[in-house]
Amino acid sequence: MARRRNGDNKDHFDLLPFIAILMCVLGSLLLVTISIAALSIGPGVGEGWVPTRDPNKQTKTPVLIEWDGKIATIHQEGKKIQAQWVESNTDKTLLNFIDELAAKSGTHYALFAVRPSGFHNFQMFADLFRTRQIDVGYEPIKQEKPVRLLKERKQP
Amino acid sequence: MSRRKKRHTGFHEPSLVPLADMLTNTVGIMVFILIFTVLTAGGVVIVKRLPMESSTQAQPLQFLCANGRIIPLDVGDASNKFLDPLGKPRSYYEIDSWEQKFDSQRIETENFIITGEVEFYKFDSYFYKSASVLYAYIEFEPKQGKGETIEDLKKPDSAFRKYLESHDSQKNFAHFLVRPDSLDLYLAARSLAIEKLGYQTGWTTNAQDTPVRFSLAGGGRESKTQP
Repeated sequence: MARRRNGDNKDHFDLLPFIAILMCVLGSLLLVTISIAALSIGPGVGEGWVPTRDPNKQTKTPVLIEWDGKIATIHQEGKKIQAQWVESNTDKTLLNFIDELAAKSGTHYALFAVRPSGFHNFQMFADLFRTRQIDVGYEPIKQEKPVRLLKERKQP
Repeated sequence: MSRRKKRHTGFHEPSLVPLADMLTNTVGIMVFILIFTVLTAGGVVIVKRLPMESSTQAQPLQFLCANGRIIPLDVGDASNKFLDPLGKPRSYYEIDSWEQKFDSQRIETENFIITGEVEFYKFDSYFYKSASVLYAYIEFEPKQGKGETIEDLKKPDSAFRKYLESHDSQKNFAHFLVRPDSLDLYLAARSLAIEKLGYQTGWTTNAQDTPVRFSLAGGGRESKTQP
C-alpha cells in the first residue's frame, strides 16, 4: 500500500497501484483469451464430419478411422482405439476390428481420414478392408487437425 | 471504502476487501469468457457428404495435384507418345534390346517428364521359345512451374475449368492424384468440378516426390468415384 504524506501532515491512500494491478491482470487474461481463440479458430480447429443421407440412395453408416502411416485410430462408440499396422504385421486389435466390421459390412463401411504422413501406404492399408468386402471411403485431412464424426443429419 | 479506525495521525486505512472483490470478479469473468470462447471455437463443424468408393462406367479424367499446382494428365495420349517410337519387338530375339530401349527412353510433354520400365518373362526350351510381359509401366514426373495454382482455379478462364468443360460430365469423371503438399488445392478443384461443372469425382493418394505410375500391362488399381 502506498501512502503519501502531504505538507499538512495528512495521509492519503493511493488507489493507482491497485488499478494498475487490475489492468495488468485484465490485459494478460485478454491476451490469453485472444490467443487461445485465435489458435482454436485458426490452425488448431478440428473438423467435425456430419454424414448426410441421400434419400435416393441406400447409404451405409460410416465408421471413422484416422490413418497416419503407422497408427490407425478407430473411432468406435465414443472411444478411440489405436492399432499399429505395418505391411508385414497386423495388430491383433486391428484384425479384431476388421472382423467386426466385416460382419456388419452390409450396413457399415470404413471411412478413412488420411493424414499426409499416411499417403505413401494408405491404399495398401485400405486393401486390408477391401479384401474383406468392406466398402471404403476416404478423405484427406491435415496432419495435426483433430477430426470426429458427428451425429447424422438428413439431407433436405 | 470503509473506515476501520481513526489513527491519531489522521490517516484512514481503507479496507482492501472491495478491491480484492473487484479483482477476483474480473478474473472470474475473464475465465468464464475464456472457457466460453474455447468451447465455441472447438465446436466448429464441417458438414460433408461423406465419401464411399464406387465403380463407374464413366472414364476418368486424371489430374495430378502436386507442388501446389494442378496438371491434367492424359495417360492414353502420353502412353502413345511413349510407345510409338519404340515400335514392337518382332521376334523373341529382339526382346532384350526392346526392353533396354523401353527402360532408357525418356520423353517430355508440355507438363511431364515420362519414363518407363518393363520386364518380360521368358520361356526358352530346345523346341519352343516365348516371352510375355511380366510388368510394364510408365511414370510421370511433373515439370517445375507447370499447371495451375489455387488462385488460377478461381479465374473463369482457368485451364482446369476449360479442360473439364471440353469433356462430357456424364461420360467422364474427374479423378485426382493428390500429393501431401496440395490438399487445399485438391479440395478447391474438387469443389469446382462438383458444384460448378457437375462432375462426379474420385481421388487417390500419391506419396510426395514419387512419380505417378500407370501400368500398361493391366493389374493396376482401378480409378473409382467417391460420391
